[in-house]
Amino acid sequence: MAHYKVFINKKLCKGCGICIEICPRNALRFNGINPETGYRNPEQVGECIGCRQCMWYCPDQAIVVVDEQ
Amino acid sequence: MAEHFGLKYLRKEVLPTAFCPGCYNGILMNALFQAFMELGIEDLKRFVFVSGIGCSSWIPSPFIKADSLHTLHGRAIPVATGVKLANPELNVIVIGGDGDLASIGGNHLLHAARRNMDLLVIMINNQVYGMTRGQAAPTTPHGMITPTTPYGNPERPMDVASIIAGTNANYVARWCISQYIPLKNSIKDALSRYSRGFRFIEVYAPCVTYVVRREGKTPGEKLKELMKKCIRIETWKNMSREEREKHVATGVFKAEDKPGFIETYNKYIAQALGEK
Repeated sequence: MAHYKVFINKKLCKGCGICIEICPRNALRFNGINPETGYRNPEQVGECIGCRQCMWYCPDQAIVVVDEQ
Repeated sequence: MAEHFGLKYLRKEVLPTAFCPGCYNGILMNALFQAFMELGIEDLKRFVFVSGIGCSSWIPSPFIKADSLHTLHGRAIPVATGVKLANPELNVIVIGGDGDLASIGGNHLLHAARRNMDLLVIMINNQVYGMTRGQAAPTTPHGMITPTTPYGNPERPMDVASIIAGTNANYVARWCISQYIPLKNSIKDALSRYSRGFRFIEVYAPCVTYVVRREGKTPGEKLKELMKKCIRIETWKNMSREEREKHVATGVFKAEDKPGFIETYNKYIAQALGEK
C-alpha cells in the first residue's frame, strides 16, 4: 500500500487555494498565515491518494507529492 | 526534502514569480517543464525564448533558465524569425499573450504562419489586456463587462486557432488550462513529432484578477468550472449555436509535417548557387 505525503514550499506558496479546491479527497486545508510572506499556507490533514493534481495545478511550483513506501 | 520538477528549469534567485496569486500562467509553466522532462531535456542550452510585452511574456524572461529575448510590444515573432534564420540549429519558442501576439502583433503572427517559419508559438489567451487593468481585447467574449465596455462587450471574440489553421502552419492546437495532460502532450508533440514548420498552441486561461475575481469566483472554482466548459472540438461541432457559445472547443485543429521555411529557403539558395 503506497503512502503519499504532500510537501509545501512555504517560500513559494502564495495561498491561492487551487490545491485545496482541486484535491478529490479534501486532504489539504489552510493553516494560519506565514509571517515571512503574509500569505496563508495549506497543510496536509487527510489521506493522499497520489493523483498529483495539486502538484500540476500549483501555479507557483510550491507543491511536491512524494511516494513514501 | 524533495524538489518540484519545474525548479531545475527556473532561476531560483528570482522566485517567487511576479504573477498574481493563482495566476494560470504558472500552470502552463508546469506543463512546459513536464514536457521538457519527459523528452529528456536536462538543460535548455539549445533553446531560445522570445517574448514581447504583457503578463505572459514574463514567463520566459526572468524566470526560465535559458537564453531569452524580451522585445518590443507585439514584435516577438519577427525577432524570433531573425534568431532562427541566424542560427537554424536553435529551438526557438515564442511565449506571449493574446494582446501581444493576436492584437498588436496580429499581422506578424499571420505572416509567420503563412511562411511556415520554424517556430513554436504558445499564446496564452487570458481574454483581456491583463497588464493594463483588464480592458476589452479582440479575444474578449461577447457581453463581458470590462472597464472599456461597462455595459457588456458588443463585439464577438476572434478565434485565433481557427485563423492560424487556415494558413500554412504545420501544427495548430487549442487547450484549456484545466486540461493539463493534453496540453503537456501537445507541447511534447510540437517539440518532437512535429519539430519543423510553424507550430501554434493557444492556451485558454482567463485572467485570474480581471476576469475570474470580477465574476466573484476563486481561481480553484473557475478551474473546476473550466473542466466542464471546455470540450473536444469533435463534440463541439455537433452542437447547436446556443450550446456552442457556452462552450470552448479544444483539441488539435491541424497536424501536418510539411517542410518548414528554413528547409525550403536552403533549397532555393542551392538552386541559385548551382546556376552560376
